[in-house]
Amino acid sequence: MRLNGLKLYATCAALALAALAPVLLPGYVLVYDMVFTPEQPVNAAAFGLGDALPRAVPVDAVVALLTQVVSGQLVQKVALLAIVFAGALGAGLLVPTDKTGVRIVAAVAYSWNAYVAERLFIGHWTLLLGYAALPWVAMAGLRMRAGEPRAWTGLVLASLPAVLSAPGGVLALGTALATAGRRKAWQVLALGVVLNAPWWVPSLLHNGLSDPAGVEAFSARGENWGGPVLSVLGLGGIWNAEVVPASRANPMLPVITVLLLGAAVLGLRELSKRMPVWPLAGLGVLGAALALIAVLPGGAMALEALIRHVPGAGLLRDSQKWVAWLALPFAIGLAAAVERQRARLLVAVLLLGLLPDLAWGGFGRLEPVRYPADWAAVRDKLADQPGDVAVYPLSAFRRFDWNDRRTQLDPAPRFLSGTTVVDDSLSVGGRVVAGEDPRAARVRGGDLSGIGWVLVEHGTPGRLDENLLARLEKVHDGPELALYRVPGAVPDEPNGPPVAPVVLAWVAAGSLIGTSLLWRRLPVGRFAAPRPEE
Amino acid sequence: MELVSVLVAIVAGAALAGGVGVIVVSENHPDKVVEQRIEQGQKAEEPVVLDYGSR
Repeated sequence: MRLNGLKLYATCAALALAALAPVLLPGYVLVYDMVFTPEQPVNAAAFGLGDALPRAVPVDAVVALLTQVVSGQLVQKVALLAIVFAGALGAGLLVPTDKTGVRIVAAVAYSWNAYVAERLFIGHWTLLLGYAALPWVAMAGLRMRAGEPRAWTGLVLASLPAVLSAPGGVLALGTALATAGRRKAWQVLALGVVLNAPWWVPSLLHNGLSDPAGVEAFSARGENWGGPVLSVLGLGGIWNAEVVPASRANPMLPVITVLLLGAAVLGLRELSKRMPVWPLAGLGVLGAALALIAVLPGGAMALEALIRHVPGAGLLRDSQKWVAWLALPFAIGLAAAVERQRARLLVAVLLLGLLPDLAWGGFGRLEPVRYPADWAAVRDKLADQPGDVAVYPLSAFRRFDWNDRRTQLDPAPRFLSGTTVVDDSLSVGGRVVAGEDPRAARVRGGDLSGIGWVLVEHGTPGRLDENLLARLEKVHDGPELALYRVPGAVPDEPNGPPVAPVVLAWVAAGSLIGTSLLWRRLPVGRFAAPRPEE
Repeated sequence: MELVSVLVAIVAGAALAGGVGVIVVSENHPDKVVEQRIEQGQKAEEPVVLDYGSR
């Protein structure tokens, strides 16, 4: 590797460490939606066969399988570091230039921005894995456009981190379509449909519809005097004010956003002489429009109607995530804009300085903690025991003393083997967005039919029905957790989507991945007809 | 070219000063103590439903 190449790799590693060094300490980072456990159970819900809308499919299955081999904390640390490192490196390599400084500007712009910070702090690591894959997907798409042999296998492999989640899969598909061009669109679409099948098949087969109240609750939010539009154009604007870095209130930020976007457009004009960037820029505009849809006139109504009537459309709420499409053209455009400037690295420093509170894991936001011993004790008690577990207090989120009272998703479904029923309704600023799991709704009504065990988590806010617990048999009473057996429990019939189409979806996606690997490694891939110029 | 570099440096300086200023103000403004007291009071009386977040 040449020295200049090394500089880019070193910069990307430095960015990853600057943002996430505290994550390397022993333990698990548990914030908002990010939950890792020592050994995640391989169960039906992880594969999209549970009662609830499969929001964490196929990532739950992949993490569950990985943690059978290595500890969950190792998987978490590798995944988080990969987000910043691979995203930065991909963006740097995507810029067609021989100047490393230009690549570094693209790398910093893509990996050190409000989108990465806010989504990290809210724990959306699977979405960010998809985000980090986008430059690599774009490179594979461009190779397909150029008609390179076996380029489709590169697209499949580059898309793998993205298709771990539904939004990531859609982001990757859009980027691939934009870069591969119209002539390869059907090929790209077919690959995308098959690769994403493990989440869209169970989502479409899911019985329930989502609460349209989520559209307003999760719509983009203004972070400074620039309002939601300039916040989103600056790659921020997430709905949750609690995860927004303080520096996003910088009064200079709306002005800087406009200046940087203007520079990026000028850079894209320059880049368009070297690579097809306008489809990517168009996708960026679409991403920004989608991110703002709920705050534009009539947009919220349209989205609510969609979510009210189309099964699985609940995945579209929290629309700010689609502004990820804008980040890539912004990063490479800005890099190209400063190519002729001597002070180009100053732009990289500016980007870092505009968001100092992403450094060091957000200074306390991303900090590993250890699970109390009670969790392992309860897991051992429940191992190989029949019966589903209902978890109290009735709340999707927890705030434990042992995790510094950070808001975090209930770890029970990913810690305990078997099926766990948790309250999946969400409260945003006191307004409740209804959940999607019919069994959770029954438990909320005090109906324990089909439930074999009740787990009570101590030291976290929420209601507890003492009359209900008095009727149960206590089998574990620890400082953090209490476990009760439900006398005379009759197991519930599975009420998830039909098994056959979901299994078929997994087989199809797995076969495509296997075939693309073989196509690259074995001579079979070289049987392809040679191109005319060869 | 040099003019552009100077302009970039000025904008960068202003932006950084603004960012640092915002963080310093948000950490030290006089209401902070009041907010902390309110927070401590709220901690003593936990909510029935835990918020996912707030807008």
